[in-house]
Amino acid sequence: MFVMWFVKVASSLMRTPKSRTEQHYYGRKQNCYSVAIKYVHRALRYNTLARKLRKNDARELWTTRISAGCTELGTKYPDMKLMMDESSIALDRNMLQNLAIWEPRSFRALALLTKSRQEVGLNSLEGPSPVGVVTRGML
Amino acid sequence: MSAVRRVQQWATFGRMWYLYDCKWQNPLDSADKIVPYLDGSHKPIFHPLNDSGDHVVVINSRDIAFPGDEWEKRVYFHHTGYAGGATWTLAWQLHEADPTMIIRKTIYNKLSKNLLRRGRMARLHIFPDDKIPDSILKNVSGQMRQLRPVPRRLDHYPQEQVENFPKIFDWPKDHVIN
Repeated sequence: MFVMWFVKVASSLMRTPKSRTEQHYYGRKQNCYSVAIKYVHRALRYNTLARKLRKNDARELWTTRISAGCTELGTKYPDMKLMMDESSIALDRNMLQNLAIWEPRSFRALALLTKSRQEVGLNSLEGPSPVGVVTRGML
Repeated sequence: MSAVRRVQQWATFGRMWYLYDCKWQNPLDSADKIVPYLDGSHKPIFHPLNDSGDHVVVINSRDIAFPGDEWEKRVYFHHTGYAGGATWTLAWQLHEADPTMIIRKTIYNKLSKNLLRRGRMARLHIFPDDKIPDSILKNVSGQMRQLRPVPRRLDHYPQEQVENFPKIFDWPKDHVIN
């Protein structure tokens, strides 16, 4: 005897007029409520999670741009950050990348400050000791 | 647009063609240097979707220098897609077969793994020696500094410069150095 398998399939149309979320989905996800609602909920969940990711992406982009500007001028981004922390220059990454693009001379001034900060002064213990002074490695 | 503004626009957005001589350079470190130029991340106006990358022309790829025993130990994997089609090729074997492949694979693996990679690789031009076609040489507008210094061979100096170089001391003519 021939037995047919009955499968319950969601076939009802959308109960609400087509809202923005599922308008561009494929197939029944676009037209059938009980199929579409799952994907709409997923899309809304992604939307809320992306609020934080958008900020992370923007910060990463700013960092790339600032380090590109720094490399063009012969310094490095971590060194510039250190100089700004020490000198209490409170410019955030957003401002710095705007300066790098639109105010190149101001950005160049910051790069020169970084380089001058890294210069070893006469009194410093870091650089080579003066010529003619015998220290035997003790200084 | 005024002339000054026009020059500024071209200088900012014009696509540069950089030349890189990888003679006696480490291909891994060279790739670290070249990839930001293909991305565009060496520019403050960078955005991944901005198509801000530049062209890089790599010459002398036959003369690259892996450190240590990498030539004997480093392997490159390839699978044809058919059953039993996996091959592991040693670096020196691959270099013998195609002297541009090593630097190409290194850069390909260092670029970000998205759909923009193929387009960025299309902007990379690799030549095994320093013979570049005229069409590409005409476009080259800048050069990238090498990472490792390339010393000059003694026999490549002119003879008179070697003879006239100041000496503190020289062996007597009948002295046998052995």
